[in-house]
Amino acid sequence: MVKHAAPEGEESDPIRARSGLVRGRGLSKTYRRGAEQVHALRAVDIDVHPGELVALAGPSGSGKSTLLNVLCGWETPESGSLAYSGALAGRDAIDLEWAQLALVPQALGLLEDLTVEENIMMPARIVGKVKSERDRGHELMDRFKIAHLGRRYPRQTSLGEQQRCCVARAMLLRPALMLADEPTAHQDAALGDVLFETMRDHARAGGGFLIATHNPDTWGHCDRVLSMHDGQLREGAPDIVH
Amino acid sequence: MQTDELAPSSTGRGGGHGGGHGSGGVLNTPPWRRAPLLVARQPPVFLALALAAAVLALAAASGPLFLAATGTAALHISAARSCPEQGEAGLSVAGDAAATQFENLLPTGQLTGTDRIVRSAAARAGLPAPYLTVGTTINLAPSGPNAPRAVDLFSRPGALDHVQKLTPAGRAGVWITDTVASNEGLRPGSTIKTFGGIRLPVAGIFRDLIGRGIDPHLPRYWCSWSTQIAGSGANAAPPFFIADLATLTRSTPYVAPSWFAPIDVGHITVPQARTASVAVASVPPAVTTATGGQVRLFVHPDLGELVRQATLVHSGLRGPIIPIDIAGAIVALLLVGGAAGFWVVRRAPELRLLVSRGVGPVALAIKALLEIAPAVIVGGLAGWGGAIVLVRSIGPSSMFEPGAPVRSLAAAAAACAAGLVLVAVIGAAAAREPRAGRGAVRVLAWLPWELALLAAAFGVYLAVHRHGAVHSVHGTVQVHPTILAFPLLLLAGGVLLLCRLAGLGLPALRRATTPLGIAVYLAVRRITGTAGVAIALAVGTALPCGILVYAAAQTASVDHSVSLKFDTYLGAPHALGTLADPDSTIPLAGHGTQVAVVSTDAFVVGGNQIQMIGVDPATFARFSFSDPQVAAAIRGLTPPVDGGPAPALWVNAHGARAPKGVRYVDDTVRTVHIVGRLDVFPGLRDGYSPMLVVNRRAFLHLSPFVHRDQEVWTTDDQLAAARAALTRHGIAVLFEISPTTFLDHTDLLPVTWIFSYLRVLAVLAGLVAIAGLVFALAARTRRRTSSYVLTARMGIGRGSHRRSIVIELVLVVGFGWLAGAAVALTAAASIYRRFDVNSSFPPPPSLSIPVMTLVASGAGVVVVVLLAAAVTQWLADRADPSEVMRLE
Repeated sequence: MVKHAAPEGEESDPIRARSGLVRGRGLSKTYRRGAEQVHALRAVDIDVHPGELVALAGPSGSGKSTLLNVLCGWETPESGSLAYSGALAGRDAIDLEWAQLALVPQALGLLEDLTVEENIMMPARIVGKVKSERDRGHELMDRFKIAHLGRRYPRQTSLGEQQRCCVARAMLLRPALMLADEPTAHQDAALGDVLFETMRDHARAGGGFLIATHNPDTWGHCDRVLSMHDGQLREGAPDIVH
Repeated sequence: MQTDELAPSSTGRGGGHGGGHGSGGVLNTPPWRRAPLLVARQPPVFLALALAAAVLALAAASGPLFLAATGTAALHISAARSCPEQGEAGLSVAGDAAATQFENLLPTGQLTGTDRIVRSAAARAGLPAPYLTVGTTINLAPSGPNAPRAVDLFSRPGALDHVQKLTPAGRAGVWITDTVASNEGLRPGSTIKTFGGIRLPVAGIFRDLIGRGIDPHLPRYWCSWSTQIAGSGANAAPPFFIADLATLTRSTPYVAPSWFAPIDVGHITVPQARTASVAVASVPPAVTTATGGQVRLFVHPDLGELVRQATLVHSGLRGPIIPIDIAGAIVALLLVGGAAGFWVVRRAPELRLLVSRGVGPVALAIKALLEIAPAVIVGGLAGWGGAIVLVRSIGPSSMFEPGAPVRSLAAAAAACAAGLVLVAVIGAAAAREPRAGRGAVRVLAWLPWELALLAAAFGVYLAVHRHGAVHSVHGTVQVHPTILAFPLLLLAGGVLLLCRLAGLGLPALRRATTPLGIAVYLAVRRITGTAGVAIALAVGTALPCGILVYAAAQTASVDHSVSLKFDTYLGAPHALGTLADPDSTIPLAGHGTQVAVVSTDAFVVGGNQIQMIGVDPATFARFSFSDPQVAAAIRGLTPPVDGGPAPALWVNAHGARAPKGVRYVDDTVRTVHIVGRLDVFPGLRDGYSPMLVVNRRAFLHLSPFVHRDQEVWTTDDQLAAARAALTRHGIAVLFEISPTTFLDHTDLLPVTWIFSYLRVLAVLAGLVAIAGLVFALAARTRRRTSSYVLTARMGIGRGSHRRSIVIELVLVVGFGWLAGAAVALTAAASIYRRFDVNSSFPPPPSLSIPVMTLVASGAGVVVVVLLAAAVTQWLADRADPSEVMRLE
């Protein structure tokens, strides 16, 4: 069920009333593709607050991935400002640790030479917390119904299973903010619900989520829906705005 | 939205595995008609294929070219080490008792006519105009107590250009040496009178080619006449004078003429030398016919011997080259297969589309051939040309025998044809379902077929032990192909087996490294995650390193063994042959030891010929190649007392009974008392005959008919002082030999060149391995880069990532190097005893570990690893995370 986001300007939402995790103002990004100039972002304003799931909707090529890349520091906007606050205050995006800003990229980025379980536990291993986070990892694997795949390599699993592995890896260290690009693209409805429920549980604990998704069935899980079209961002689901 | 999918796509693939639609119809469609042009639109693919074909053609063409160059090189090397006349077509007068009173002599009156006939016959045979050389010994009328009684007269065009003239030229007559001129008070214008009363004018004086107290370093021009000039052993030669032909012929009624056609054997091929050798053989019959049987000539055997020696070297290499060529072609075919696989990857979308439309394997194979053939042809021609340049540049000789380039082109074409067959097979395989072949591949991977290679290696090993690895034909070492087939089979099988066993240990390694740091953790997981690639890289490293180490081990072992044999032969680091009196003691003042050598004039009483040497026990051990056993043994060699038996050592007896006495060639008998037996003794000059070693003083007062060479043996640091001592006392040195002059002998060239060629195979395999490493890293670049981007985001540093790459490559490539070196040394150790280039001569072969090659190859591996790691890290650093993490 689609939640209609409150009109802009109304601060009655308790989530939005809290101080934000990330605030972007006037973000613009342009690419040159041959002779053509592509405006991927046109003066985009965006806020994500702790405890909220925000859906970023829009057709393919609308700029969703570019916005996520800018927010995580993989791309630099040509104009505008980007600031992290709250749990992420005072840092540049590229310097944020995985426990602060976790990613679920479109291409997943699983390490082909590690098993599913090793991929999920990788963030903990890098910071030396394998033992303390092992239970958390198993819990996520159980919830995402990939526990039986722990010893398999990603190439031995389906795309959907790989995607759930990627989400589990992102959520392992309970990040303050998670940016996800189409995290349920290869999931059926039931498993998609499981992913969102898990994210919701983490949101209740204070985590913030910005999820790029063009699947209307997932918007219902989110507190807000933002629409992107041709580089411009607006509040509300695409079928309401347009 | 796609659901989980493991099942194949439901899109229809009907007819994809049969013969497809009618092949003729398919082949007329644009994908086939345009095929030859398509690969040009993908430069990386074209380049990869052309390079692979070039390597294949180079590997195949090099063999015939190398072989063609070896005969020529052997001929040139032999010619360079021989006297000039030995490389020319030579003729001399043959003995004919009916025609002349003396053998090998021609009446002086017939010389001019015979010379004309010989030149004419030589011209008809296609030979260059021969030059006439005439020598004779004339007796002189007595002119003083110290005047020479006989002199050698020598005449040849241009001879005076090769001596140091001390007076102006321009007169006809005899040129005499400064020694004689000084002793007899002669000068230009003086007269020498022969015993027959003929007066010969002195035309000039030249510096004596050999004088008292001066070491003779005869110019190469005079090398054939060294015996006439310097004498031999203790026999001094009469003075050697040079005269013009008219003066010489006036001085004697008979002359010994020789004709030499200057064919410049140092700059022609073996077939050309053979042709000249055959041509000169036609001259004597023509001369005999033209002179009505009065003059008979014989052909000098030297040129034929040079040709035969070069032919033996060439034929001795033909067999051993084959396993190397086969191995090289297999390695190069792997590269072609890899390049064809690269083509499949790049053309995958079109191939998949064609397969989905029902195109079968035959049509796909033809498409692969049509697309790839242009690149293979271009690369093949380049490789063939490269082989010619390479062998000309670094091969044994830059001169090929006629027909060699054409034969090499045929070999390159055949190899490229095999490459195209492989390409067709790979193209046809692209028509199959991806999973269809996995079962077969899995079975192939699990079958321990390397055991078959090891079994074959064992069979060859038994053959080597049965037949030996080398044999000598007319003094030229012939290498049996098994000496190369064995290590190649053992390396291939042994390395594959070791890598398979290592692969079995990978799960344990993975578990064991779980608690370790992130760099090791990631490195081991990259290895175990793609074990097949890791094993292939390890094998690719092991093979060239192993071949290199084996070639170096055998070469070093052969060199060392030959050196030890020659040390035994020579006896000391330097052996100087002198003209000292046999009964004299040379005052060496502690700079050497005097050794008397009796080579042919001693026999066991009632038995066979033996060698004998007389040593000075006080100084022998210090200056010779003596081990403690020899040093202890010679202490018992005291001088014989009052005609009693001489204490002696019995050496190289081969079970022969120890003698009680020695009979010399003048029938003198002297008793000996054996005080020790040894298998090897410095100065053993004949591996077949036993040797008696006595105190030098046991040879005193033997008659001059018993030929005793007086040699001075010394060490490197005492050589100059020893020569100075000899000069000070006016003792001429006749020859000087050191071990380093022996190893370049033509007889061992097949051994040297075979292992040089084997090293080239190692380099080829190494280049293929490096190409494989580059390809493996490049093929996984995107995957590695995306992994690095995410792990960097998770907190892994550049240093840790770089370390993990280094550790990964060191483990894989380092293991390969270790495996290759270990198997190679095992192969060398198991076979070196059969690689005895002269089994009749002690000591037996010993194994030399090629330390420098091991260090150099290890260092090479380290350099490759560090470079590969640096490049991989650089590529990862340059990656744009936003592009890497987007879906393609």
